[in-house]
Amino acid sequence: MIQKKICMLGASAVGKTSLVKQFVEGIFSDKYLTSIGVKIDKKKLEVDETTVQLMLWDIEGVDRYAGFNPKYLRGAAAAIIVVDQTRTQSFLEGIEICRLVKLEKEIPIFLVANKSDLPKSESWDSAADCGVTSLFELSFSTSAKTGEGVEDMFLNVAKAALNK
Amino acid sequence: MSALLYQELGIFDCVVLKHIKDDSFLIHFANDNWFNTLFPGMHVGDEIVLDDTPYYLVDFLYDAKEFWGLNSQGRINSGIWSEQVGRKVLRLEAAAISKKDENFLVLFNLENEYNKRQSTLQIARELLISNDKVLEQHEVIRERIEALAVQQNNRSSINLPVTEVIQGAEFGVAIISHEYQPIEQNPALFKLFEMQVGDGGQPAALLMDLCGRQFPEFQRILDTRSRWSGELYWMKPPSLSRWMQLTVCPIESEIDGLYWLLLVTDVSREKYLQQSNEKLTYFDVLTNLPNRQYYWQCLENAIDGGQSFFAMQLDIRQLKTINEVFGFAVGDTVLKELAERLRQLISPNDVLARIGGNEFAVILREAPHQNCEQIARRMVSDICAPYYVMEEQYKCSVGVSIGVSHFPYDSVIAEELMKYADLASFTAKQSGKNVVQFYSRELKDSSLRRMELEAALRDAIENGEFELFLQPILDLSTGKVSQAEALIRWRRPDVGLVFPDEFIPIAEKTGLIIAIGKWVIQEASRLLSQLHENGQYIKLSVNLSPAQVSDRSLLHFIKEHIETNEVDPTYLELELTEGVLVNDFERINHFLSEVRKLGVSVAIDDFGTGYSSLSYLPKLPIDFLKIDRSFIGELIDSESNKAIVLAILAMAESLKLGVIAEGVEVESQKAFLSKHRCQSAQGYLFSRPVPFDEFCKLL
Ligand SMILES: Nc1nc2c(ncn2[C@@H]2O[C@H](COP(=O)(O)OP(=O)(O)O)[C@@H](O)[C@H]2O)c(=O)[nH]1
Ligand SMILES: [Mg+2]
Repeated sequence: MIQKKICMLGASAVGKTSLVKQFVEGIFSDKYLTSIGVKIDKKKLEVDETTVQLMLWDIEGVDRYAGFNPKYLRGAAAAIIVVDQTRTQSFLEGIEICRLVKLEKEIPIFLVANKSDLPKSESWDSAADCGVTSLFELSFSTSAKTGEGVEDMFLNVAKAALNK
Repeated sequence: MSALLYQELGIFDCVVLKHIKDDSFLIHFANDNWFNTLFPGMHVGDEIVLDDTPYYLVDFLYDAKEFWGLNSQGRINSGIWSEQVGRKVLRLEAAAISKKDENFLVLFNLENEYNKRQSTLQIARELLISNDKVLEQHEVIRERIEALAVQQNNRSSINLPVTEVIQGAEFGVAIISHEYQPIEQNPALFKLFEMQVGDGGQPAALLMDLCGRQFPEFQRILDTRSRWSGELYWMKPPSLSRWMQLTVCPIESEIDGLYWLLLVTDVSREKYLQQSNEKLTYFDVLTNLPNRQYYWQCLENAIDGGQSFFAMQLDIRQLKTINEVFGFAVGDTVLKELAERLRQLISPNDVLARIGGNEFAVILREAPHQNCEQIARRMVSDICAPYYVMEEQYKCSVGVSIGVSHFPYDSVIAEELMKYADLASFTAKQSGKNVVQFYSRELKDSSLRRMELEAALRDAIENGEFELFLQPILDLSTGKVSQAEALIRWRRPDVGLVFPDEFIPIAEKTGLIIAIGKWVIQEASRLLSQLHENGQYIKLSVNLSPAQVSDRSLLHFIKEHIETNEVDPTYLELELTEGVLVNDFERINHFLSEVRKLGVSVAIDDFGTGYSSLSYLPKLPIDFLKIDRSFIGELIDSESNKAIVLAILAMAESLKLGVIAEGVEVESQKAFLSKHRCQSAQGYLFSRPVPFDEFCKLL
């Protein structure tokens, strides 16, 4: 069976762990428990009659306490950069991470604006509307809480990872 | 045998795998507790193949094999990961180790470290995020209010839209006048201090009071109109207390001058969370240095100790730019390295702390062979040395200003020592270079004088303390007054007449020059219209400072005042210095052309002292040159000055520009100028600058 490694990247508390949990186990918790290091989860998907096993690398939030470690990108077929639409700062940090990924490797990068169940921060639109979307393969809006957009996002990522 | 002992001691909570070949390993040693969870059914002495799971470990084998291939001593680590096995989660880290041609893969169970690190980082991250959110909200409101202040073009001061913006804000907002009187206080602010709107409480005043008491540098921040943010503690006996995060920003409104905007958010929850963790209470997580709170304690202790020491404050500049250009991650790396460089320079008995986002502080004990000034200079040069970031691809640098106060000579009170070091560092910063400044009585006095002057200058505009004096300019062929230069004077209450060279440089530094310059234009227009009324058609010239020329609204302002005073624009003249002209040629060219279209004429002041004038003169729309007084002063005795004056006169003639000689004091100078067909002259020989009434009598 085909396996594809996907890296979940982004600032802390944007919902990387929650997205994986929602996608793999179908559950969500409001409580925030910060991740340390890496945790790998897997999930099988059918993409146009091909079965693919996604290896989802949930990586500790990149912030002032944990740097970006390019080593984690080894063998990755795609990267998902999660940002939190209630916090504009997380978008800026996401862009920075995107730049670092691009320096390291040429893989499709997806932008995921999570927490779509909550109102956007006031300065979100002005920050997000700066032409950076071209950096990304595709952009999605998701809610790990309600599950909205989550399945669809991972499906698209799987397709890109399979080159379809 | 020994292994068993280790295990009992709990030291050997690990699994040791010896590398055989490729992905095969021999299980050399294993801790039963979790080894079986990870590798069910395996035993010490078995061979194990790592080619699929655990995924993270298999991935690490790439690095491990590469490392073993180098045949080097030491080890590399995989970084921590979580391995889910059924319902159980193991927190593991692997290391690749080489020992005497044998290669080992060692797995450690880091359950305890994981939990410790998680609990600290949990709090640190929640704080970081809430701090981001608070600042983001503050920023949104600040931007809106600033925009409104700029837009305001009618006289109704802080008006309706501002009130609307702040009424609904979730956090406290106050707007106060530059005399610190409240103009707006929103309901959330009253609530923060447990007050009711309308019951006479003054939360903004309370807030200012708290700041003054809790931050030694606060008064300086206000006096110098700086932006600031910090945390405040408020207590309402018997049992209520709050931590608040406050942002203070000056807002400049063109019409109403300066306001202060105060934005306050309750951060008690975050603060108590922080205090639940000792490390976070006293240390800065990024640099691992003592934080502001801890520094206070160290300072108090050092004072109690009685031994003399220096309290240093280091303000790091350009960090913001680095954060903007390279991102926070890089800014943080720079900070960490900077802290490390500083640490190298002080002895273990000294204290190095990070007391603010871009502020460090040092307690440097006085020792026989320690020279504080030398160390401070070393600090400057080490801090300013370049930082290589992003895999050494980029180079960036920061600047620093250091202020120093000396215990017990400057003060024996912690608060004052900090205040004085802050003042000294601010003075160093003002000078614009990377310098060290020691606190002194004179420093305090001169900065006090400066601040007083600044404050008085602000009031002067409002109180109408300025006056225009006029100095006549004579037509040398007729001997009659043909025009006059308007010169500003400040009738400062209790002080007397103050000349522009004393206050204009300060006005330029603080931006007040814009307002003052406009007043001059307005007043000159008024005087002109009075002259017109008296039937006197005499040109008045006013001086423009460089900052005014960059002010885009100036042109409109001039036009407006010409119209409202119904003056003939050909009787108004603007004087600019040469320096202004070369700074931004295109812009000036445009500006002057527009001025000319209004009918206003343009003169170049202090001509001859500045830049290579010939290259730009023919290209600019100007009417007059004013020969600098320095050439006129020694005109008769200096052959070279004579030559320069003659050259200027010849050049002006060929460019069809009028010439005015400044600083004419004696007859012989006048005679020389007349002989060589200089049209006009100004100077004490004819008259000093005089008040308007006196000037009228001269006509
Ligand atoms: N309302 C809402 N909360 C979310 C969503 N995704 C994550 N969260 C919450 O955000 C916090 C951080 O989530 P987490 O997955 O741990 O973030 P990570 O650090 O990026 O892994 C947790 O309190 C989550 O409950 C979402 O889509 N909507
Ligand atoms: Mg996480």
